Amino acid sequence: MIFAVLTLLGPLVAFLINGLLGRKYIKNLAPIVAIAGVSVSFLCALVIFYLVSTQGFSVDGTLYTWVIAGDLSVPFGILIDPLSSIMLIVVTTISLMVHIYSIGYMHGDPGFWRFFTYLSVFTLSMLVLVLGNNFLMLFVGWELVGLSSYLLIGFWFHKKSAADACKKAFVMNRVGDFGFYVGLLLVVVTFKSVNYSDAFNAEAIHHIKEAGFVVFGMKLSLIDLMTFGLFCGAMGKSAQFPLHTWLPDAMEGPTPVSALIHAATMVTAGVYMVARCNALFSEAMMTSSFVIFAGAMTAFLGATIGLTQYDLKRILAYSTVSQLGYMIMATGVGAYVAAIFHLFTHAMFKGLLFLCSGSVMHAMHDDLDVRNMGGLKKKMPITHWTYLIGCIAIAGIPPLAGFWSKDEILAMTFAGGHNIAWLVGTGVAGMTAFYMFRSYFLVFQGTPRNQYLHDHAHESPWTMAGQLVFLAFLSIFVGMIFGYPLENGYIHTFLGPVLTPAHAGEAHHMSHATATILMLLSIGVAAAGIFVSYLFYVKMYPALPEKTVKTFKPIHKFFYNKWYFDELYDFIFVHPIVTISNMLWRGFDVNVIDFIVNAFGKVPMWFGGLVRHVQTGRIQTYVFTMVIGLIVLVTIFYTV
Amino acid sequence: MLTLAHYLVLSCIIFAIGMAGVLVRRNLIVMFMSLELMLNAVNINLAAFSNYLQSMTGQIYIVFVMAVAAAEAAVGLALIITMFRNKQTINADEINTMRG
Repeated sequence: MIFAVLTLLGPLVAFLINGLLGRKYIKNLAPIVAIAGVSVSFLCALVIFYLVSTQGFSVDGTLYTWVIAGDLSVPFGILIDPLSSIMLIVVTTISLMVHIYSIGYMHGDPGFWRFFTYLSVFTLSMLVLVLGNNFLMLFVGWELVGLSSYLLIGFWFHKKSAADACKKAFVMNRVGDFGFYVGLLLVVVTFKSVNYSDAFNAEAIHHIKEAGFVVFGMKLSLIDLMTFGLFCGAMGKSAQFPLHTWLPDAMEGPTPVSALIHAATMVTAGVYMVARCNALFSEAMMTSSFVIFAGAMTAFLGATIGLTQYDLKRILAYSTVSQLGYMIMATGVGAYVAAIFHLFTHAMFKGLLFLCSGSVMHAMHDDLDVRNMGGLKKKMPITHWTYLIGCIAIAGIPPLAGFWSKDEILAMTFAGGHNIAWLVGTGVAGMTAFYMFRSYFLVFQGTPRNQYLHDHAHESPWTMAGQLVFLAFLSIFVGMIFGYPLENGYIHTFLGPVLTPAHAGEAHHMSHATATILMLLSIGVAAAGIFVSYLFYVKMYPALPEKTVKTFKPIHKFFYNKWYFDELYDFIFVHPIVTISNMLWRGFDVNVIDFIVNAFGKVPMWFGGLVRHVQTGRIQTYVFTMVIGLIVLVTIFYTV
Repeated sequence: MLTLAHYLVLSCIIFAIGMAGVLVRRNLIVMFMSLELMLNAVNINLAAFSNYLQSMTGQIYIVFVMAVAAAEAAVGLALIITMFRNKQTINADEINTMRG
């Protein structure tokens, strides 16, 4: 318990110190405070992980009662179990790496201290989200990470694109969060409590299993509705189709932020939430089908768009979208362990890839167009090697991290009988390998395409490169350490007790031969992707890509323009709302509301103008009026 | 033999003269003097009734009225002087800053 509190206190204190004193007193020393704070969290997370893994340590305790409303009482409680401890490791590790990296990356920025303040807020909120033992704390953390994401995307708010992007992210998340509220309220109403321990109680769930409503002749079970609401929140936060459009735009923020929030930690909050609520989700058949659909769709969507982009960070962003699709798909088929495992490995290699892209960006003077790069291999050896490791890891080549988790998701999907989802997943794995290596070849191999930028390129300082090396090591080894042997690795014994795969129970009864074939197939697809990418972008560059684009022009255009989702939303939502608002403003507001308000002013003015002449300012008029009045009164008094 | 009626008529006449003065004259000092006249008409009235009813109350009131009149004269004249200093006039018609 003490460690959990310390984990929270580290970033909280750092945030308070930097936030209150940063502008005037701390200034360029802000990273020291922030890093000290997150280091405390990191050490505590390690201790907690050690205790949980070796001694089966677990906590579900209340610090104090936070809300009392009627018979609902909400504790400020801490939950430590294998799931939250592994999330703690992910959050604090990546956060620490990004903090250190930012010293080099954000050096000289006028908002240096502000940046670190926001980073501390983010770390704190993410830890609250992960450590809470009830839905309300989850929700508070959920909204707080949303806020810090908003602040950090819009960190360079004087850039219009950044200001727009942070607004977009916030609004899109709000759409998902509406569903989340509904789910949350249903949980409260159903279980009369917000605590996980009450809601995930097998008996309580059994009790409400049959409950439901009939809407338009369709029977909706309560649990389906509840989980669907919660999943809407996950769709917003984890950028799932159709709410994915904010994530690529979020790349307007500083690159360390993209690595920390929009690749490794915050966007995986949805996956964490679904895994946390596995007891509910595994009972909700309809929601599960939808989750699989959304996940597979997102994976496919992200991958196809990723194939065609030229902006290095956007390629990575779409790859994140696609990988999040994988995780969500895994939770849908009931492979919660695989989902969390992929979350874990993905955090390492995607964090690495983003930090590499930041390093490249630094070298290329903030130019992110891969068409202007090329041949950076010699100039930036560390970035080159670490990026290559990240690419191999995400492509799913053993024994690097991505292989273990991705293969497991695909195997579980296949074993669960979701053949279409499996097919999509495998196809996406090939595409992932292709476009990741496309970016690698275009950036680091070949000949420089912009000599000026190339001449000025340089390797990043050690505060940045050191983190790359560290994360590269993790990307190589975490998969093996946790995932070997396949589907029975350490991660399974570790997470198994909290994440029992319910309706995918048959998954384990897959024959050994099938598993091997699937594994070889996924390696084969990845290798094929890499090979094709090599053909396209090294051997026959630029002839082959150009020819391919020409041949499949409409499809390429469709993918390049992100399936026209932004335009579609503009057309369906933004444009009508702007038009109606304009009408209301110029029509209703000016002509009706303002008219009424002005009338309220004008009537007394007109009336006042009428009687103002009575006040002449001359005493004698007043006296005369008084005398007349007196006479009249006296007359009336005596005659009546 | 003077009866109560004589006093009342006198008082009425003086009061009417005072009121006419206040209403008609434009000189602030004259208006002020007319005002004093009205107060004294009231005093006559009070004295007459005091005598008629054989009660001291009326005469006590006269003392009050005279005190008030004295105070009023002090304040009023001070006001008129200030007014003259500001406006270089004591014509009531020209003092109409509060005109609506």
